[in-house]
Amino acid sequence: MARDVLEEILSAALHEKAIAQDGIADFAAGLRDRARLILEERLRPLQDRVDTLEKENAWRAESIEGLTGENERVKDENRRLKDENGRVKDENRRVREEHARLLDEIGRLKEESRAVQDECGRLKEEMEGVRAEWRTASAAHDRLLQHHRGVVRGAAESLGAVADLPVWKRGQSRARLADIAAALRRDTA
Amino acid sequence: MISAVVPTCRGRARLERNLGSVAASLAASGEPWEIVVVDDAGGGLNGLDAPARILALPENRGYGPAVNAGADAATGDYLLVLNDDVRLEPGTVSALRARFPDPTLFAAVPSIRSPLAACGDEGGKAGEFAAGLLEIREVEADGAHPTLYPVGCCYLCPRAEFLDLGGYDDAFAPFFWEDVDLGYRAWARGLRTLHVPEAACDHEGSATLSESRTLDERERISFRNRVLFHLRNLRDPARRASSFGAWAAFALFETRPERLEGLAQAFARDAADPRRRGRGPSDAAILDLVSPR
Repeated sequence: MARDVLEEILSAALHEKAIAQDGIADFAAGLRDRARLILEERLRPLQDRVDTLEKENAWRAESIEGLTGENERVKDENRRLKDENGRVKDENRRVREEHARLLDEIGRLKEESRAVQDECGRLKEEMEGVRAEWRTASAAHDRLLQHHRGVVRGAAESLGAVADLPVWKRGQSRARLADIAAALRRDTA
Repeated sequence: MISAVVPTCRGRARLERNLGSVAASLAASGEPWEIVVVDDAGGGLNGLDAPARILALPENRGYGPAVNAGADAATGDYLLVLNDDVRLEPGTVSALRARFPDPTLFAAVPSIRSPLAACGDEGGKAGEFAAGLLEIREVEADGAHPTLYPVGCCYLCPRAEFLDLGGYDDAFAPFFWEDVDLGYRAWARGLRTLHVPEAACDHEGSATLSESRTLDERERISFRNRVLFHLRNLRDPARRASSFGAWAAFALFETRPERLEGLAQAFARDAADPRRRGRGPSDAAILDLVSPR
């Protein structure tokens, strides 16, 4: 349809001599200036789109720049964390070694503790033996003491009986004293 | 006598909102008056509660032909041409009427407060040629000043002048640019149109069109009539040559089908009913007259 309209326009312009010698400059000016406006109008949405895209592009570039900076910062942080991680690993290794050393020390101390406990048990047993021996000795001593007391009591009673003998029974007294002395000698041998 | 001519198409609600203000403003002028509501085959006006005469048209032909029919049927010396979505102030008609009689004046246009106007007032218009075509812009003004054309939604003019100019050109039907064409023809005859800000009205804004036409259709018609205006009005050979160049640019580079269709239709309409462009002020002189000082 556009070509038919154009033919009609040119035909009418020719008829009016608008595209003859006198009018050709004005015709061309109208065509050129109006074409520019029409094309500008057609281009405006595209130009608007381009402007929008340029703004978006600038925004994206800015974002990329920001993100690149952020990336560098993260890389630095990453490097720092790696160093820190190495340091922590070394520390960890050191702690593990220390831990192992402590475990060994604990084992050694446990063994030593067990040895001390064993020694302690042995000493307890020995102490029990000593105690038992003491109790036995003490009982024997008590019994001996009892015996000595009985002997002494018997001697005392015999001496009392001797003392009660009349003077004339000096022989009997001597015999009785000799018995007493013998008995005492036997018990003190 | 003043005859208000109000074309409408299924605009009963708008008429009921606004005709009261029209009647009050007419009555306040102190002149005899009538209201002719031209029903552009929309129907639905039976029992309309308004002091108006209904002129029912057999077919819908649009704004220009409807106003022309109303002007033919009117009996007043003056025509107050109104859209059905315009509300007048009590002093609007008096302020416009006070500009007449004036043998150099074709029409008086009030300040038209409208959401469609970038500056808030649709009434004042200036024009300039740029890249081969007439570009129209709004002009704010404190006092009365020449304007390019009587905006179709509200103006007052002598009925005889309207009829003598042939009224609106049917080639522009159903709407758009017919008022520019009418005003330009008047200027070409040496008849001025005056923007009179001391008169004011309110315009709801293309209510009828937005209800009945798609955006593409309106664009096609608007563009067609823009082309038609140039074909039927420009007189200066250089302006015409430049405008032909501009149309060729549209034919070559425009991509919107509704515009290309409008372009083709304009040439076809003009060829079917060519207009004889008589002698008169040059295009440059007309635009100079309506340029703000």
